[in-house]
Formats: sequence, C-alpha cells, structure tokens
Amino acid sequence: MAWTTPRTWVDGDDASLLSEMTNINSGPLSPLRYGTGNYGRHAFTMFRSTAQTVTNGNWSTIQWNAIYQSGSFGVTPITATNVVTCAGGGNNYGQNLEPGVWCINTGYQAPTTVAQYQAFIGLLKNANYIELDQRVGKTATANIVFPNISSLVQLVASDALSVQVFQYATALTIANYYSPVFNGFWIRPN
Amino acid sequence: MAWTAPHTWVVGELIDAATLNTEWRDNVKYLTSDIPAFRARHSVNQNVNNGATLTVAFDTTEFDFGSCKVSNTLWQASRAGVWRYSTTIGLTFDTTYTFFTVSVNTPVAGNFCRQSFVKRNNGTGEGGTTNLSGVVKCALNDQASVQVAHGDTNALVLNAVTAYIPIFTGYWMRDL
Repeated sequence: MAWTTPRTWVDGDDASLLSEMTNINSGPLSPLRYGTGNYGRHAFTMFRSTAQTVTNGNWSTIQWNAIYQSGSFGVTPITATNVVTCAGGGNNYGQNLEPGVWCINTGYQAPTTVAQYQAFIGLLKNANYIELDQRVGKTATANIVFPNISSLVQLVASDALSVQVFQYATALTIANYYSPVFNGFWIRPN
Repeated sequence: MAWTAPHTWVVGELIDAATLNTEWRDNVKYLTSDIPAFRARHSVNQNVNNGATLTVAFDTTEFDFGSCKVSNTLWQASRAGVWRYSTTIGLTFDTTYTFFTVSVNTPVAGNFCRQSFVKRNNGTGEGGTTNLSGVVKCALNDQASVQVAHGDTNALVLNAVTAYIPIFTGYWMRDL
C-alpha cells in the first residue's frame, strides 16, 4: 500500500479510533513495513548468479536473476528481470517500488584476467542515464576495477530503473555472488 | 515539526486529539514524509586549474525536500542529525598521468569523505569518474560542499555529460 499522509485528529474522533488504528498500520506506516507484521524500510538487493557476457564496445543491460534473501529482508525472489519498476506502491519488493526518494547502489567487478582500460556502469531511469561511473584500468596489464554508483533517485509511478555496463578492450563475463549487485532502500515519499 | 519523545499511555488516560496528532501524525511524518533530501547536478562544464581547488557548482536541483539548498555550491543540513551525502564527479583530461581528489566538506568534520582518483592515460584523452558517499554528524544548518583538487600540469575539465554528472545528493538519516 502506498504512503498516505497521517490523519489530523480532532476531539470527538473516538468513534473512529479503532478503524484508524488499523488504517495507520496499512497506510502511513506501510512503507516502513515488509511482509506482515515486520517493520523496516522497503528494500531490495539483487545480483546475478550466472554468467552474462558483455561484448566489447557495447552497452549491455544487466539481467538480474536473483534477489538476496535474508530473514531481515523478507523479500520474495524474482526471476529474469532487468528493471525494477515503481508501479504506484505495493509490497512486491524489487519489482514494484514504493514512490518516493530511494537510495540506490550498484556496482560490478571488471575482469581480472585480461588487459583492459575502461569500464563503465550506468544507472538508468526510464531508459535514460541518470548517473555514470567510469573506471580506467592500467593498459596492457591485467587488473581489477570496480565501477560503482551510490546515489538518491526520485521515483513516481511507472518509473523503471535498470543498470548497464560498458567495456572497452575485451568481452567480459560477469557472474559471481558479489558482482554485479543492485540494491536500494526507500527513504521518504514524494 | 520537531520530534517528540514517544508517549507512554497509562490505563484510564484520556486519548485526546493533541496526543494523537503528536504521536501518530507528527512523529510519523517526522520519520518519513518530512525527511530532508536533495539531489542536484550541473549543466555545463567547470574547469579545475592546476594546483587549485574547485568548489563544485550544481545549478540544477532535481528535488530539494526540506529546503537544503543555500546556493549552487552549498547545501545545508536543514535538520540536525546524521546525514548521508554522495557525489559523482567526472573529468576529462589528456595528460599522460594525473590524479584528482574529491571531497565532501562540512564545518564539523572538514573533509569527512574524501577519495583520490588516478587516471593513467591511454593516449586518447578519456576522462574518468568517481563516486563517493559517507555519513557525517551535522548540527542544524551545517553546510556541505563538494570540492575537486588536482596537482598536475594542465587544467582539468569537470564534465557535465548530458544530465548525469556531476551529481550531489544528501538526506537526513536520524537525530543526534
């Protein structure tokens, strides 16, 4: 359920007290709750657990195929999606984000076994770049760079977020339990 | 609206409008819909001269809840507490070897969040970006800014690439 502004009380409201006590849990407090009876801000963490190839010289959208599950997150796994969308509220974390301001983080590890000199990661809202990180590695020497983004993003209904990476010099295979990652948590309503 | 310590009810106590408005309206709003938060970017390139420190300007405000903006270069903690700031800076340069540092500054902590960035040129003049974030304790109206410094032979150009860098964001996390 989406955020609603807390009610202003007036004296004599006691007849509606019980219903309002119920409503406040499903309304104003719902963005601070996950699942049923658990509280904490809406949050998601996704990663990629199988290989995805990023070809040289092309932007590739990361296909998120796993969502991190822990007891404290209380989330439902999603499969084979490359965007998270804001569909006007709800508790389907990761695919149906609460409108408002989100703290979003993403990053990945560029290859360690090949010589390369540039690696990019881009955060997109509605298919438009809103933030970019570019890392430059040492030419002709195998090394590691970790492009990453940590920022605030404002979302309204139907906004969609996605992540793209770009690689010069060689094809890249990204897959392990730590990279790439895409996560975020809700801060406040609009 | 300021935070009010949560009320403890006792048996037989009259539940009146004033108490409910404080407990269930104002305190809930304080922790959610009234949280100060901003995101800003800059629309044109800025130069960083050799040996100089540039306080980065952000001329375009994407959102500013809680009136954080003081000027294009200064953003204030409009509510005292713990704040999280993040910035993304990108530069173009074409020297053979150079570096720059990016810092987020507040009067309380100085350069509380700082990162150096080294670029080894490949001869084609590409630049680089860096992203950093940090958490700092702020008194009311403490002002934060982003600075870029470098010590190489040529001036750097701080990119305004389309609409996605440089970026400066911040939000209030909790009371002190």
